[in-house]
Amino acid sequence: MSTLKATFGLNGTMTGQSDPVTIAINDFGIDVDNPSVTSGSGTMSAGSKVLIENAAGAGVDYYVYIRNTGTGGGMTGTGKLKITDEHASSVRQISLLEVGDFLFIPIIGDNTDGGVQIMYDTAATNYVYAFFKRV
Amino acid sequence: MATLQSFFNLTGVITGQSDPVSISVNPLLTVGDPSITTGGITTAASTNQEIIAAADADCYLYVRNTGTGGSGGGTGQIEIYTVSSGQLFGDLKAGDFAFIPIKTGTGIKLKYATAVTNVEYAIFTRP
Repeated sequence: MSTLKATFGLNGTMTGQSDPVTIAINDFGIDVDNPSVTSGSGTMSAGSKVLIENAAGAGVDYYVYIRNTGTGGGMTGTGKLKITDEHASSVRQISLLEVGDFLFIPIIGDNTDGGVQIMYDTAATNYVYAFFKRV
Repeated sequence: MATLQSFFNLTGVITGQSDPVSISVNPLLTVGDPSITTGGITTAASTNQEIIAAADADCYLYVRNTGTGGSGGGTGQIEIYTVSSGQLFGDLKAGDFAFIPIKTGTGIKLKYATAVTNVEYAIFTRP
């Protein structure tokens, strides 16, 4: 087992809100299996790509990071990424990433209709991803 | 519209991996004015707690399992479902968090799993 440090924050001021936005998580330890990271990048110009198969198994959970990096990875363009499960007959959408957007989700594995895949939406774009098996 | 500064870092060394983990991003998020919804929930057995309706607009969701009494400890987990399809996809142990851009038509509900715990969340509507 290894421990990674996760830091997350959101800060800013919104007109019409009395208080500023301040969300901060600093160096939260997440325990992952050895060696368990799978990472990659690519271009999504059609179809889909499965990142985590469904029915990964009871207790097989993952921390998943995905980012839409835009045309050529340069954070430009209009291509979006659909994030869905990996159901055999009809996938169910979880998220939609516009250019620059990212997500981080602890994905549950003990679910026969689970898994994660990314799908082309309306225009080609690039992506990066990494997932880690949770202990 | 307003702009929020986000940041996410994931770093460390995994035994058996040749290179260290080093993910660092800090995109600016454009959100509507005023559009934040925040809340805290103590989970209850067999109860789904909808925090984003399926008809709600595109948004960013932050959600964290803050543990027993918000202390970060305990064994209570939180399951994350879509409203539209009832699909279970996420599971937060005490201390875990998720950040997810949500598309209208999806919706999010939270559900107790294994033991009572606390959760905090914030939702920001996209323009």
